[in-house]
Amino acid sequence: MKLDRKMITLISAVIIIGIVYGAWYFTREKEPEMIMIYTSNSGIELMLKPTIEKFTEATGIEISYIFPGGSGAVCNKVILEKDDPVADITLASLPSVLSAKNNGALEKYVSPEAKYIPDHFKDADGYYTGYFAFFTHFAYNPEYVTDPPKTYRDLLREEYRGKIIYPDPTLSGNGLRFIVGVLKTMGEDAGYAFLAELEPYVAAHPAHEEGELIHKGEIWIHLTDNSVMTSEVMTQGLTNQKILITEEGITPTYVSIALVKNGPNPEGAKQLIDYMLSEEGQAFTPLGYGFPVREGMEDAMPEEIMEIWAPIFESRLIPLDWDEFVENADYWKDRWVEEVQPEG
Amino acid sequence: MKLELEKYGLLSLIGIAPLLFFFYPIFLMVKTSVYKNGTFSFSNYIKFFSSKTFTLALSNSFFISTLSVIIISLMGLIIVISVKEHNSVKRVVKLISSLPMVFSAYIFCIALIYAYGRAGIITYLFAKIGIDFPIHKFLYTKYGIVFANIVFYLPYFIIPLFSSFEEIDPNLEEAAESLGSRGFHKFRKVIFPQVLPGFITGMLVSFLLIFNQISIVLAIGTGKTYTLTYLLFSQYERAKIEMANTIATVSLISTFIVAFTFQRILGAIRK
Repeated sequence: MKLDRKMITLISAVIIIGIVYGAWYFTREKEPEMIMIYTSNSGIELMLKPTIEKFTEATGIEISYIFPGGSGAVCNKVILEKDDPVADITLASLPSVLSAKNNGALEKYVSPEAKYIPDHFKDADGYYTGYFAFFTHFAYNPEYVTDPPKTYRDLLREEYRGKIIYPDPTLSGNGLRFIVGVLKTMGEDAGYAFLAELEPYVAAHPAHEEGELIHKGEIWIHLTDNSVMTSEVMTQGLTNQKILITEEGITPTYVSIALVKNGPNPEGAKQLIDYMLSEEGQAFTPLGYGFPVREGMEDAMPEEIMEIWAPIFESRLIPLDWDEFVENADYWKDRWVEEVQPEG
Repeated sequence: MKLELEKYGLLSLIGIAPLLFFFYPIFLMVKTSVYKNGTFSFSNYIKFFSSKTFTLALSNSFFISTLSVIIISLMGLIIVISVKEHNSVKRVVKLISSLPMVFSAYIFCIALIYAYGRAGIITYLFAKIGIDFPIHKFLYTKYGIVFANIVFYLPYFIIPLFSSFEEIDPNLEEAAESLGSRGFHKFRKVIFPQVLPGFITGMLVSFLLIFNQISIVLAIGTGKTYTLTYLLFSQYERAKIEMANTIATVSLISTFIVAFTFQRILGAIRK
């Protein structure tokens, strides 16, 4: 085909327009007023919506949020985008957020509100702060379990044989936090020996929590966390379960809030972080069944949720060292697989 | 000339498509399995075959698939023979058989738990008349997986077997009968040899489907029974890509060996 003059002019015009548009697009001033949040999706939307409404009303700053997936996906996305960040804030649980910190995707920011938050709910280096906490614990069906176990070893009662489940620690954060809690309280070798002894009493290691099974009585005792369990009770009507905490205690973890390095709107993001950690902002966390990390928030929690969570306030915490957790996670999982699982 | 070009173009496309979408991904998978931290090594395979977990998963996969296929093929054969002469019953059986095909295996397993679990409706109804219906006792073990496989994959065996039976020449049966062959003798000497290729093919298809499925293992095995597919899923979830590809390669080789063996058997039968 022979190109005539008109055609050459047209193609040249299209190319020039494309170059000019591309140059404008990549060098334009990004919208300064918008704050973008990347968040994991476990009930957080329920607390984010009223937070955003109040914050935007007070400051005029618009907020947008997306769910790239679980906490791991949130952190992977900010790591991938760290040369040209799109997000200003991440909401991701421990230990996933450590990967974002260690890969240089986060900016150090210690909010003035952080002084009201206990040290075990914030990063010692100041890269992230707890937003809300949740605790790994057992729950039982009170119809079948009339005298709940008081210690880990009480789980070895004959009546519980084949009626306990805890999630596969190689696939579930709750499962891993439980076995690490056992190892921390009993010692590593004794802990693995106990888990192997517990195995005949365990019917299943699903990939995630199974509230429906305990509610129906298919299973009598299962491992869960207060956030998932409360959500099941309040939104799905799976009321036939109660928190069970043994003398050894419960392992805490939390969803952190962090400032993305070189994000488009750092000043707005800092304001939002301050607000989310303030007394008013923390009062929204129970709406998504999260436990406020700020001290002295008991009065802000709805009565029906306080009733469910009551045993947590009296329990002992088994604090986890998150750097050690990340370093040893594979070793703990592999050893569990080899020494505790499978039954064949 | 134009036709020739079109023909060769089409042939090239047909040749390139499997290269791109089948052999190349498999090549990448196998290649990743023989690299450890960027260096060529068989250490993943050494780890696989020296680990009791991985070898147990391999033997569990074979055990579960073989036992399931044996029971499915015997049950399938009995069902098809029992109803093949009764057209209305056959239609009902075919209809019921097609039902599991429209469900996802995972949803199907949840239904099994609600029916046969400790708090399941069937278990409850039997308990009401004083019978401890035993399925709940082994539902979450490898025998539970076999049970779910039988219920879910039986139709995949029955429906092609019906077709094999329908293809038998009725004159052959009549000729056998006129020569005095009846009952089990007729079945063994005349009918079964006719449907044997379909029977063997059905066994192979069921074996391959069961060997490579993950949903039932996840829902019923629930992390207590390790199979190759469960470990493959778990290693990918843990971002252990090299080990996951090693498991996938072992699984693929196992599948090829089984398919090749069945093909040889089929070849021998056809001779």
